[in-house]
Amino acid sequence: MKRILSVVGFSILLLLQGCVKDQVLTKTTIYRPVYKTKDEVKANIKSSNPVELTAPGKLFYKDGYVFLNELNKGVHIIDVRNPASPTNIAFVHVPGAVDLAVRGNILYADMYTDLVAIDITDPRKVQLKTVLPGVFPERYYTSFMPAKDLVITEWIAVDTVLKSNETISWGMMKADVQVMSASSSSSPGVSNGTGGSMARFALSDDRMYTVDHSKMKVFNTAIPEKPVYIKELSAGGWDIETIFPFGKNLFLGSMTGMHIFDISSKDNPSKTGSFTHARVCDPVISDGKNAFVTLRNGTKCAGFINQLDVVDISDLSKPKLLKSYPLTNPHGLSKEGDILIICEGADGVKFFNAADVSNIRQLAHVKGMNAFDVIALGKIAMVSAADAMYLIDFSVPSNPVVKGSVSIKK
Amino acid sequence: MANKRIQFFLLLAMLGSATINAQTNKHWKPWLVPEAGILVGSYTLDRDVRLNVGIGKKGIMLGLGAAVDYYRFESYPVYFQARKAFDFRKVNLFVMSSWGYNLKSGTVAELSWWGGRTITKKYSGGVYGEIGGGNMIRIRKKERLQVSVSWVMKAVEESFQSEIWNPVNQSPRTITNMNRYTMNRTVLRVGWKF
Repeated sequence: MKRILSVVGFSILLLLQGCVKDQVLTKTTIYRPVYKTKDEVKANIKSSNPVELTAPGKLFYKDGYVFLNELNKGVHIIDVRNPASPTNIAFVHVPGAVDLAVRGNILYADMYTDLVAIDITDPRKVQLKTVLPGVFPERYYTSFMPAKDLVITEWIAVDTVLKSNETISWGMMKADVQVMSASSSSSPGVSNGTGGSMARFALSDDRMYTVDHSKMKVFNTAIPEKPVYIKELSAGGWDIETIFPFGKNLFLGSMTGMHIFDISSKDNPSKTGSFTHARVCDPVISDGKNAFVTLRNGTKCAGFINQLDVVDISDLSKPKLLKSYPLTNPHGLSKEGDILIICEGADGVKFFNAADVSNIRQLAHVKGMNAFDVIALGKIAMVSAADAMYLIDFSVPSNPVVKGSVSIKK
Repeated sequence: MANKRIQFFLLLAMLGSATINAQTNKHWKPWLVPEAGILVGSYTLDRDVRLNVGIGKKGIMLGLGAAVDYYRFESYPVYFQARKAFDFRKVNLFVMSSWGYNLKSGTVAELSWWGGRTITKKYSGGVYGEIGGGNMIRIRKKERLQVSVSWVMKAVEESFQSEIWNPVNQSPRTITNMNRYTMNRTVLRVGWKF
C-alpha cells in the first residue's frame, strides 16, 4: 500500500511537468514601421523648401543638378552648376525612396513597393505624374510586407520586451530593407541623367532597368511621365546589388560576381557572360573595354576582401580577370577618361591613373570624408559622403581640390 | 572555471562545518542529504547534484544547500531550505521548499548566424527556488533513502550586443540585448539522508 501510494504521488507530480516551461524574457530594440495609406502618401508627394541633409543615400546627376536621395524620405535637388557654391534648392518628398533616376524632366523614384514618376520641370513645384503600384514587392522581406493599401512612412526605434517559451530567432528582427538607386547611359531625344555605381536603377535610351536580389525589371520610359512596366526576368544570379549601363550592355554587380546582359533587344535583355569572385559587396562600372569591380567586406556582405578587380570584357561571353589591386574599403567608383575614382569609405576618396589597366597607379588620396558613392563628369567628382556631399575638382588629378560641399546635419 | 569550482567546494566545506557545530545542540539534530536528480524541462532533460545540510527538531528541518545544476546553463545554486516531515498512513513523507540565488557568471563567445562575427554573451545569475515533497524510506537506524519530486526554477540572465539593420539610414546599428531565462523544471531526485 505504501509503495502504491508513493508511486501514484510521484506519477502525479511528474505529469505536472507538462505545465512547466522555460520562459525567455527578451529586452531588445526593434524598428517599428509607421504606416500611412497610399492616398495620404500620394497627397504628400510635393516639393518644399530645401531641407538639411540628414541621411543621404545615392545620387544622380543631370544638367547641372544633383539629385541626392534622403533615405526613405525623398530627394534633395542641389544646384551644382557652380561647383564652388553648390546650393540646395528644393526637397521632393517621396516616402520610402532609396533609388532614383532622371529622364528629361521626370524624376523616377521608388516609393517603397511602387514606382513614381514626378515632373520636376519646376523643382520647387513638382507634380506627381504616374504611380506604378506594387512593381517592387521585393522591397520588403516577407516578414515585413505591409498591407497592399498601406505604405511605411517612417521607422521608429523602440525598446521592447518579448516573452516567449524558448529563445527568439534573431534573424526575424532584422528589418532589412532592400536598397536601390540608379545609373544611366546616354540616350537620344529626351536625355537621361547619370547615376552612381551603387545604383539599382539604370536608364538606357528609353528603357529603365531595375534590379533586386535576383530579378531585373524592364520599364518603357519612351514617354517619360508615363513609364510602363514591361516585364521581369532573372538577373542571372542572386544577391544582385548594382546595375550599370554602358552602350548596349548592362553590368550587374552581385555579392558573388558580375553579370553582363546584352540589351540590343531593349525589352529582352539576355545574359552574355559572368565573372565570379568571393562573396563580398560588389559595385561595378565599365568603360567598354574593361569592367572595374570593387570588392569589399562588411556586415551585410561578409567576405574578407577589399580590392579592385579589373576584368577584361573584350569577349563579353568570357570576362576574365586581368589584375587585382588591394584597397582599404572600396564602395562606389566612377571613371572619367583615364582617371578612376574610388570611394574608400572612411578612408576618403582615391584617384587613380587607369590608362594602363595592368599598372593602375594612385595619383591622389583625399582624406577626411566617409565616402560612399561618386559620379565623375568633366573634371568634377560629386561624392556622397557621411558628413556632406562634396564637389571635388580633379582638373589636376594628382592634386584634387574640394571646391564645395553641402553639409549633412548630425 | 577552476576558481568557481574551488569557491563552490569551499562553500560545501562551510556547510559541512555548520553541520558539525549543530551536533553540539541537544535539541536540534543535524542532518545531511546528498542527492542527485533528473531535471525534466521544456528545453531538455538534464541533471543536478546537491548537498543539503541543516538541523531539525520535531519534523521541522532547516538548512542550507548548494548544487550544481547542468540544465541549459551550468550554474551553482545556493539556497536556504525548510522541510516538514510527517506520517501519512504510516508512510514517512516530507514537503520542502528551497529559495536562494543561482550563481552564474562568465562570458561565452559565439559565432553570429550571419556575417561570421563573434558575439560575446555575458552571463549572470538569478533567483533559485523549489517546492516539492517526497518519501523517506528507512534503511538503517539513522539513514534514510529519500525519493522526492519537486518543481524547481532557476534564472539566468544573458546579455550581448548584436546588430540590426537600420532602415532609416540603411546601415547596421549596434544594440544591446538581454535575455532573462526562467527555467521551470520538474525534478526527480534520489538522496541519502544521514
